[in-house]
Amino acid sequence: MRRLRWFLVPVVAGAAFLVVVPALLTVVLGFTHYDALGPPRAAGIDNFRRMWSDPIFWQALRNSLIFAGIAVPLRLGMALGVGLLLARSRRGVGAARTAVSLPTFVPDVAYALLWLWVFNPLYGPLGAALRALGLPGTEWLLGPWGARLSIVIMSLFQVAEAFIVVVAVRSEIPDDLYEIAGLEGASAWDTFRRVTLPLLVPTLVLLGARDVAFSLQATFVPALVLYEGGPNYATTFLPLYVYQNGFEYLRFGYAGAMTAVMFVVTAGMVGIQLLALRRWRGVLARA
Amino acid sequence: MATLSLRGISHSYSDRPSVRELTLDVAEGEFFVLLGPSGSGKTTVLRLVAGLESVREGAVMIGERDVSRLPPNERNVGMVFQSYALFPHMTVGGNIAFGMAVRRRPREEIAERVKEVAAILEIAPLLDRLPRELSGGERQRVALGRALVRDPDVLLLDEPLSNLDAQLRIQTRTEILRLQTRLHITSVYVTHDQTEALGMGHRVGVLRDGRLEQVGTPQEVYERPATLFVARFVGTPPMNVVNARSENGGIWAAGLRLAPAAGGRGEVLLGVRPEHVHVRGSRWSAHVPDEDVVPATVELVESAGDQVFLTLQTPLGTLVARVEPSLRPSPGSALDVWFDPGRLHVFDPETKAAIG
Repeated sequence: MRRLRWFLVPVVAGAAFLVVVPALLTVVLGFTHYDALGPPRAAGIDNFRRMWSDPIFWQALRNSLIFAGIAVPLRLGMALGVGLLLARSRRGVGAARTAVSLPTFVPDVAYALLWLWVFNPLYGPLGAALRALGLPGTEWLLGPWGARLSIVIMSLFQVAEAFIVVVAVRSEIPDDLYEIAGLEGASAWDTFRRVTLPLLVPTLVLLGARDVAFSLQATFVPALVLYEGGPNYATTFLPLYVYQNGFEYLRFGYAGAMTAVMFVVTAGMVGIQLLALRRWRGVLARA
Repeated sequence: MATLSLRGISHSYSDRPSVRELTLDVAEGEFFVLLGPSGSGKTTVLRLVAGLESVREGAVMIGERDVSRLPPNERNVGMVFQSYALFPHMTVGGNIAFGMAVRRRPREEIAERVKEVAAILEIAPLLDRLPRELSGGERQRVALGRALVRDPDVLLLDEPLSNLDAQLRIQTRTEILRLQTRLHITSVYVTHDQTEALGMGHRVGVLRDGRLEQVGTPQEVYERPATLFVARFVGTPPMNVVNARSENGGIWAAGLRLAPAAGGRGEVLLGVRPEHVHVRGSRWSAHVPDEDVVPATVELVESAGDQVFLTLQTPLGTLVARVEPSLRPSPGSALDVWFDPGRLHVFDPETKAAIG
């Protein structure tokens, strides 16, 4: 056993040098002024003060929280629904599972470009389909809420990890629990509400926590490719704003400070969910 | 409470038949045991009664109702699974109340019924616990409680004792019997354990390859097995079987006349239980006459506490005899054995059915 520890070295070293050290450096950077042209200069809490009075920062934070608040439940619902539909092995399920998983594994930029075409108000297929049904096309996607919504919609199809976990956990639930439910006359809804869902809740909470962390970052590529943060900062999410400050305005200190704040926000949200899970477990048992 | 009758039911998993034209009547309040090896279709029979498998041929009647086409919840059967199938996220109370909750019974009624059942099964102090906090025996009782709470017409038990350790099994066996006697509920109990079957059943049905080989009281099944399979499956150690010939007014094997002739002619299979292989010098054995004895050499001596089983090499082949613990011949020693002619079982080698 002792010798096996050495196998951990590459992982630990990789994590340390590629994640932990840069993360710490980023936080340190947050307390400096640094433009990558000259050496960093100590700045105290200047960057944080600036953030406090930067309306675009607040807008970006708000955008990110709105996105997480809407996208995470919808993404979980998507993964849960499709996962339960495709949990039992039947003919064609393998192909369907692959189809559901595929969008997640397409490179993000290609995926975003694809949607850029789908959403295009002039020649995109979505607009054409909507107009054919007598509905307005996709012009509304150009407004601030439309833009946010389109990024949520895009994210709904990249749920392979959660989908796979739901399928796996669902197939671990013994069949005889469902047979008992059937014997007792439980409807499909009762079975879902009283058996499947409670048994999946711990998994869903973990997936939710992970998805919150993920969704705060995942907005970067689509927001950049589709809207470049517009219209009127509606899709300027935190990661995009961090990127713009760092790599466009060369305000690495400011970007670092915002990254640190983003990290704290993420950790806080994940923490709240895990606390909620503990409460829930007690409630469920007696329901 | 009701009678249960199966009228020529058949079932198959894809192409493999699992139950073949099975007909069976279980009386009201009877404790019927279906006994068979794994794969004999006994669990499938239970599932057909419960409605968890669909009856394609024949009919399942509960009382006067043909329930063959009814969904499981309309058949009013209670079932205890081998795994107990307790909902892991619900308390004992929640598990027992589940059926009534999904049938939207009033809260007070649910609470009252759960209390009643918990009292009968002596699990009232456990109502707020989760299944993972219970012992195997307690879980078993909760599963039984969940099956009983709806006051089922028929109670189905699928090897409910197989997950318990030996001691608890015997204790639980008694409890189930006591409960069944008290509630007088028509029950079908599935097991592969012949001791359980003989000890518990009012009647026993021995199942093999989806067919009932014999239905009878435990004593009938033990003393007058209808087929060679029943003879060998019921009883431990299993019945000795030797090849013999029925001719010249006797049953002969290895040149010895073992019994007066039974009905058969020519080749027969002769069965004799270990306790009916009489050993000269054993107090448990009848007087062994001087003629028609089989010379034997002791190969193994296995003590089972209050009895000893001898594995003997004889001209007829290997035989097992049961003797008292004080008689412990040393391996290798010679002794004479004799079959009580009144206790022999003769089987047709073709059909494997009992003759006479």
